[in-house]
Amino acid sequence: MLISKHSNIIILIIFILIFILFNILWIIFDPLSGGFQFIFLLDGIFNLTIRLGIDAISFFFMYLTALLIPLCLLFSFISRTTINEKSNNSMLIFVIGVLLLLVFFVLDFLLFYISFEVILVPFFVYIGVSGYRARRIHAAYLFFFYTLVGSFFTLIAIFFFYIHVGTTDIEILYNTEYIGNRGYLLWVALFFTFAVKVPMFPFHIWSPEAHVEAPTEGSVLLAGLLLKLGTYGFLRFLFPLLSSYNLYFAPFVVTLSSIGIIYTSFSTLRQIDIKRIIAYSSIAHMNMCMVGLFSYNYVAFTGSVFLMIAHGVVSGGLFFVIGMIYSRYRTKIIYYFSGLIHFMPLLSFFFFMLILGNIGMPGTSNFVGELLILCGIMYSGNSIAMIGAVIGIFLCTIYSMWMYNKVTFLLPKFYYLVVPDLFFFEIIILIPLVLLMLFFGVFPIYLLNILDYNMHYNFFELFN
Amino acid sequence: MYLFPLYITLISFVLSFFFGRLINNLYAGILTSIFVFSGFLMSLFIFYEVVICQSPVLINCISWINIGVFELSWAFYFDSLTASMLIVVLGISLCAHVYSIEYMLHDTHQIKFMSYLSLFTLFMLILVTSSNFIILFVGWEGVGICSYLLINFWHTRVGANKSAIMAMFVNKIGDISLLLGFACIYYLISTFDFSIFFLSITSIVNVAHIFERYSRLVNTTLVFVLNNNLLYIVDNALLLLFLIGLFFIVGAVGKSAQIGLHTWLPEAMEGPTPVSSLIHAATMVTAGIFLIIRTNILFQMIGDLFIIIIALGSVTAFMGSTIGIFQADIKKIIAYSTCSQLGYMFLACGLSGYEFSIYHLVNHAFFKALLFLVGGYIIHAINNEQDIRKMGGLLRILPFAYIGIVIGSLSLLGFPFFSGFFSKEKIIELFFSMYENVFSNVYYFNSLIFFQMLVNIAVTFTVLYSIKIVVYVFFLKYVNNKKVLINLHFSSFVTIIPLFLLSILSICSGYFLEDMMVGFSTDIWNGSIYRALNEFDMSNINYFEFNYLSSKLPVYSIVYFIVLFIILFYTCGSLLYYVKVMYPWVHNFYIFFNKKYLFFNKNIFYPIINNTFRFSYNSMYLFFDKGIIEIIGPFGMVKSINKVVVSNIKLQTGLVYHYFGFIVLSILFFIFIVTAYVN
Repeated sequence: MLISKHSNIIILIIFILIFILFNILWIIFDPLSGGFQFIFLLDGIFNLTIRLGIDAISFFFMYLTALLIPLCLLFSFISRTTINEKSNNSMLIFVIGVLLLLVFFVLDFLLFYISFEVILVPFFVYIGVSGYRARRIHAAYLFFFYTLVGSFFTLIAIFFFYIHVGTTDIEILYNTEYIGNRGYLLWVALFFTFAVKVPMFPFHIWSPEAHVEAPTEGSVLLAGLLLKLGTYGFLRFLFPLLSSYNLYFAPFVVTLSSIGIIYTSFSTLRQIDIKRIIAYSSIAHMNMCMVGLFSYNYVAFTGSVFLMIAHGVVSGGLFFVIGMIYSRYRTKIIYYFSGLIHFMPLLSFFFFMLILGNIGMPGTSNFVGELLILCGIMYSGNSIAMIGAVIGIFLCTIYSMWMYNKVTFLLPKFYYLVVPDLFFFEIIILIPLVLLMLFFGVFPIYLLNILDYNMHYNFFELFN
Repeated sequence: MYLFPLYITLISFVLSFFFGRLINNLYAGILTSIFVFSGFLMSLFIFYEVVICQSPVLINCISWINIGVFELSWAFYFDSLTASMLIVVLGISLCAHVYSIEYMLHDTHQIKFMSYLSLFTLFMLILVTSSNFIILFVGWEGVGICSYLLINFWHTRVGANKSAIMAMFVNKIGDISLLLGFACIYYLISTFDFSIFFLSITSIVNVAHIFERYSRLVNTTLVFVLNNNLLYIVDNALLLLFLIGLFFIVGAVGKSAQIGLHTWLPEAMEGPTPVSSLIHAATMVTAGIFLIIRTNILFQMIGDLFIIIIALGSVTAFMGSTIGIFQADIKKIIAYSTCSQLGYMFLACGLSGYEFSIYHLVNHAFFKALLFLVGGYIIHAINNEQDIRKMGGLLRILPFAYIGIVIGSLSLLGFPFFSGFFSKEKIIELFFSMYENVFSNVYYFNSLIFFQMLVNIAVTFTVLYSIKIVVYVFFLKYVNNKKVLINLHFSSFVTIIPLFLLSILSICSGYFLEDMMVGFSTDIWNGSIYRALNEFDMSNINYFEFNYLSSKLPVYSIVYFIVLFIILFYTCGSLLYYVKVMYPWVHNFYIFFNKKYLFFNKNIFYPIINNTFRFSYNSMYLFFDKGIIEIIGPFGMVKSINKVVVSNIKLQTGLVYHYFGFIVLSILFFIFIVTAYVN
């Protein structure tokens, strides 16, 4: 669908303007209020009243969205596809971007569910269309149906809430109380949905497939934002609405997440597809966020939100790097790569910075999150969680450094294949991510200032 | 102004890494060396102010993480321990920078090398000047990453890649245990600051002891004036402190290459020689020792951990020296010598002699760096040949190298009045003062005697491998190619300067620093290190210091062994070779030591690694991901649905009488069910 020859550039300019808007929003955001800000009320459409608002957590996820989408659009500038395909891709990314911004913006359970589901449609198309491998169709189906089946339960839960309360507005739902044994079923229903999205242990097999088969921009958005939808759903809906039932089930979730960390970290050691390694690494990090969330400790809670934001940046960067390698070599299997530093030194530099971020070296953003989570887990006294987190951090170093070493160092295997080093646009894509990772690592105080009060309000008042 | 060394190394790294391609190789090297030299001058000034004028400094820069209950700030603390380490770090770094201007001159990536050296110095400075545990961890991990980059500098060698990855992994095990220790510290005192930690340890341990004593007498829970929180903490406090100490020990074992996690250090000799001298002799491997010395109050308050430290230290000292005898690569011999000396420092910490440990650290840095750099000089001269069996007769050819190695080796051995003499003898004498404290517990006493025997054997073997180097490289006949001698590459004056400086330091530093650091009732440590000798009491001084013969025994033994081994190697060198070849048991003995105590690699590491990989593929991936989950999940469902559908299609045969039969059958079935239900 070629609307105009310059549809690429128009969409890019729109999203760069949105990104600038979010930077301004960061400054005028009020850090000292616990509830929602910038509330808009949409009245009268289909006799519905919809409220939209931001609080600190959703603000940072929207900021992450506004950061990653222009970078994806920039990336499609330099991919060697026809103008028709470029325009199609940018339309899809545009729709995904709008929906993602919407999903973090709404303060209404039904509308959240709708946007949560509708994001699947452009993703399904995007994964299914791009690439040449037959397995991509299987991956697209897997991705689509796992999330769909999981979120049917939430639909039923929304119906229950509507019948019980009379509206699906979040703030009203927060202030009602649910008693009785029905709450357990509701909790299980909501849990399934979000547990599929954070890839938790038994429901995670869509994630490596979808990450591998998706094109680069798709993988970046998938790892950077879609995985956060699950934990965001936990934060926004499961914790406040069903607090006592959540407390009842919390050890179960912590155990499941710890098993997930150990399991995925071990499974990564023998993978041969670079994207699969990073996908499993994403799963391990998100499960660590879950361990932090459900250990009911304020420090771990803040740490897991921070880790979510940090991980979006780092994983996005890693998938961009792999995309750049892929667009030159057309293969992702690790056997073909070695000695990349000889003719792509710039790429090796950015790759190394992002791998350092993935490992959790102090000075990068992941370390802050992991440190806070570890200290919080120690308080709650859960030894399985401790073991899981520690094994996760250790194995993350092993497979990240092993993969980086194998790809970058030693002599080039196919020295007669001449590929160019990074283009200007690719450097423009990678520099903000690396700088942001370092900024969040060395000065997390600028994020934590805004997150702190909101976390206090959420954790100490809302969840009890 | 005190942060000047940190700033200047950061500027040096950034300038040479990002803009180094705009200037010459030589100029980039000179630039970074000048930066590090100015940092070194600053560190001398810091030493004067902090140590001699006794004014420690705490600089609080910016808040790092602040969420109310969890507060961390970028704060740097300069006390006497820090100031001594600063001189060591910046001095050896300066020598390495100047040395590698010439050593790496013909390497295309020399500028990158200099920038990595500056980055490493920066992280080491952060580690040393930290004022809370997390900043120390920043430096700790940073030097790990820098050591990965520097060992892997010649990254086209397979061996270099393997060694670098092994260094990362083994260090990471220590880092994990350190993180666990930090989490325990946060659990106890909700902060990471050193000063608060040290203050609270004494009060926690005292309160815990009082609580234990009284809880036996009084049945009810003792009513404290404190709130509930502290009661709960006191309940587990001693166990937690013990665990913290244990975690720190494991972390130090990983970083300082004690036995158990020591394999990375000799493999790290794949990197260039300045890297070996900077990282693996003087600075990074002393980070673990530095941590133990920094948290000495913890180990003093909990007396149970001493035996672990003593055991690890003495066994490492013994093991390093026994393996070092049978090696053939000059850098590996010096690496095992480092491993052995680190065992000494660890041991000194375990014997409550923290100031002896730091004193030996300072002395060891100088003569070990000298040994490595002179070794590099020799290697560079004879066309990068590292095997000492192929060298020989270099006495008249490289006389300066001979002087350097002899000075370094005599310091290492503890020859009288060189710098190693003062520190090594005192560490062994510490054993005697420990005996008086533990005389009542006979098992402890016995084990201490065993460990002292190990250390004394290590001293003897140190003589052996040092003399082996000197004899094989300089005294025996030249056994290599004539072309090497024709194309001998003498290094210029730029390389000789650091060697000269280090030689003077390794002779003089022992005598000049002795009274200041370890003399009776010096007050430079000012409370940062627990000193038994500050309370000048006759019971603290060991008896043997006043016994003339016994106190000179090590000196006599060293001189005797030096003469003996020189004669041995010089005359029966070839006889040793024949014995090794002709008798199988001698050969097996040799192989056991040459392959670093064979069982470490074969029985411990390879099974662990192989089984981990096999487990992760077979059990985790195949069984779960590709197995159960897919069968229960989509793949299995698709297959079973397909099967069911295929068999269902067979019902649709298209023949009308089949359909008629089905209708009749179902009517009969329906009547049957209804009649059964009605009845």
